[in-house]
Amino acid sequence: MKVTFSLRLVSLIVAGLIAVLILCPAPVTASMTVVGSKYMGDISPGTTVTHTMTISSKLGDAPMDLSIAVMGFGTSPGQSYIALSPVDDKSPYSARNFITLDTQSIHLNGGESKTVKATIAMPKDVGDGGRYAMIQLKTMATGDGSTMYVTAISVPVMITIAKSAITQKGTITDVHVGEIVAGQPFHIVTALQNTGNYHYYSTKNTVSITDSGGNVIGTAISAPSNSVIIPTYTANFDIPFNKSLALGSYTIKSQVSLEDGTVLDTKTIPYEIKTKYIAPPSQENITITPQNPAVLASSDGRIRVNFPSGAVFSDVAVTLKPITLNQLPTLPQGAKAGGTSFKIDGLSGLLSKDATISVKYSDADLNAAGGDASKLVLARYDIPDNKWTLLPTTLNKDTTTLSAATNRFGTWAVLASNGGVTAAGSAGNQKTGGFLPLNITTVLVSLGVMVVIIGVRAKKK
Amino acid sequence: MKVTVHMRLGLFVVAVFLVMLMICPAPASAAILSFSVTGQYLNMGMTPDTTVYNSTAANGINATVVSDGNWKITAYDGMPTNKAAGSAGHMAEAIGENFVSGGKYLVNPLQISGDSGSNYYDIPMAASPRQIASGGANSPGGTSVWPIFKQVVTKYEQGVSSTHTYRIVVTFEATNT
Amino acid sequence: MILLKKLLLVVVLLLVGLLVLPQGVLAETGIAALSGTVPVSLSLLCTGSDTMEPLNYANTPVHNDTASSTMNITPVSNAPWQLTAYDALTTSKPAGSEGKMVEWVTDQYIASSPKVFSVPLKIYSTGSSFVNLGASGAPVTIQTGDSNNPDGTPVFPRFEQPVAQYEKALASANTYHIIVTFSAVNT
Repeated sequence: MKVTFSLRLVSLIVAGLIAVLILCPAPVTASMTVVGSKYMGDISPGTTVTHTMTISSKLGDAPMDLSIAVMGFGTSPGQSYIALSPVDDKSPYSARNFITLDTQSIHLNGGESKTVKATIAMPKDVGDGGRYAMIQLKTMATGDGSTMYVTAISVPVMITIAKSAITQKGTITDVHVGEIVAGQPFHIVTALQNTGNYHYYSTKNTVSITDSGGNVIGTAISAPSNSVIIPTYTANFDIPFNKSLALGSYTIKSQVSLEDGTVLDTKTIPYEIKTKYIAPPSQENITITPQNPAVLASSDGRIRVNFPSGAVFSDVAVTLKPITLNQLPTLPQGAKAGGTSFKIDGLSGLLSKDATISVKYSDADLNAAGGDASKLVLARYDIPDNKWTLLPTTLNKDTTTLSAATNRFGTWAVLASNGGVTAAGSAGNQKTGGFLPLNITTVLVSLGVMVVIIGVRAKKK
Repeated sequence: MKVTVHMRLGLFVVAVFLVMLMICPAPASAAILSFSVTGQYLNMGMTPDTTVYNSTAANGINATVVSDGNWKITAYDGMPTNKAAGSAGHMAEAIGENFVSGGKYLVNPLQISGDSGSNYYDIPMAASPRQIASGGANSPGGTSVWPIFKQVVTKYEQGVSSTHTYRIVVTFEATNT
Repeated sequence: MILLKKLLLVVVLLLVGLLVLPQGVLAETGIAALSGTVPVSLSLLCTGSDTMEPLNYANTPVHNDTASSTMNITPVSNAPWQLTAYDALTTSKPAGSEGKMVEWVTDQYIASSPKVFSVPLKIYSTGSSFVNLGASGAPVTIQTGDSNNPDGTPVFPRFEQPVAQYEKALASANTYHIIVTFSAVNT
């Protein structure tokens, strides 16, 4: 009886756990193909054009039901395309009301193909420039129980009103500098609104920083954008900068131009650096040989790796390169990154002798540790093990340096962790900075085993 | 005196004749009496990973030459205005009859055969036209050549938006040899 | 008189030249046009499944649950494309819960006062990091690309669900649930 009660308890514990996000049933294959997945054409006022889309699925796919709707066409500042509901479609350049479909739903068996026709009727008094809409084809939510997903293909409709007056204009509505974090690139973001009556592609943003003496410190140009900017919508251009900047006043000039070089707009803002900005480490390369010791160091000396002789059995080319915090794998629970992160490539296996890695921590790193440098550790992400290792780390507060011994390399970061470091200058008995991540399965199994053991003992008694 | 007058007259006649030769080219032994090209092949099927041929002699593209001497017909891509640089011989993106500046073009060049499909050649640039047919004097009846075009459509082709097509204008030239 | 004779001679010779001498060989040309179309096409293939670690919500420290992913969405297109994800509030998901998991039973969201997870689901955006899943008006771009036919570009969506302390408990038959819409478009 007591055993039964204990088993019930286990069941309740298990039942009390909440799952689950299952997005695709396993295993399953579903596909949808649209031929005619973009319309771009000239249409004269007062005329009608038909755009045909052929929709198909693959042989072997489960039957699918698709809903088809004409939506508005919008874009986000991040240049994502948006299918707008009628309520949200407020643009004077919308073509949504010009388009009718010959069907609003289709059923496809696996391997089947059907056509959908969109009739575009341009009003006589439509005006000038471009008109825009989106035709969205969407599957129903499919799956069993909580296993559900929806896939959609949106067909942009981009109409040029034939023989109308086309104006391509733009206004920079904002230029600002993102958060400055030592050791990370800082970002200059420019927002450009299309103030003309026609769309454009392949816009470029050129940004330059000039110091108070008029000297150009750096210039960067964005790659031409693959996404369209349609009238009334705003697109953001985000350009990272890697140049170290001393304290002082600067001028930032941002210019957006069309593919042919026509300047849409230029805006200049003042910018003050109040805290010294440390750029990410530069890329450095060395070759390690078996016979000789070697040093791999960033140009500013903040990162330094000392390889003893005999660390490798043959010549190896090793590279130090910057990596942004965004690119770091998910951090261990409770750990926080400040700003120092980098990668060391070229060594896929283990060194035969440990190297010593030394990193100067920044103010951003210290802030992540709440001002307590003893909480900072050097951490290494090992891809084969798919986990972070917080290394036993020595702290030298006088030189603001963290150092550790390592026999392998990969992605590195300075992390703030409750594990902490050894005292400054202490060489031995180093406390590991690692910890065991919480594992729900382990906890459950342990609880279950405990209950069973308790129950069995109770029965014996 | 008479001799001087005749010499002057003779020199004058020679001078006039030389001027006329400069204006009117030296007499040739043959001429292209007429040459015409008819037909076009629009709406070629462009299914990826297939090879497309133009239609048969009954309704295809035809070049007819009439000559009183030996002749040849060559073909080339005249690269009309705005046809994408690097696309000589390739079908390139166009809207109607106008090529799109910097537009896309098919991976493989269009090919032509003047001998009923025995041999195919890539359509070249104007600077190095490809001979597709030749013959002797055929006046007054003339000779009709029915070139066969072949287009390999790969699975890597880029799509073009609704009102755009892939297009090429092949120039045929008839000359005496 | 002599001058007159010269002039007459010039005229005669010119006429002879024009009428008797052949005009020479000129190349004759003609043109033929060929055209066809390769329409823009886009496919989406979805395979596999994605399961979050069981969300142990009650009385636990704050942590993140990450998805173990075998899910694969492959856009295939002969023109540049973009893949986005958003919460379309499908199946009457309540307004205000955009991006967040909501209480679900059997085949629908709880209609009356469903419990809503305190923080949104996060999805990984290429080139960025994990960002909150949003509504249809604020999709997250998870991948973009140029034409990639015929093989396509497999995209493996990655999710992260931060679990705040003391998320609301659910009745045993109920789960927290969300339906994610993946949308592809030619740019």
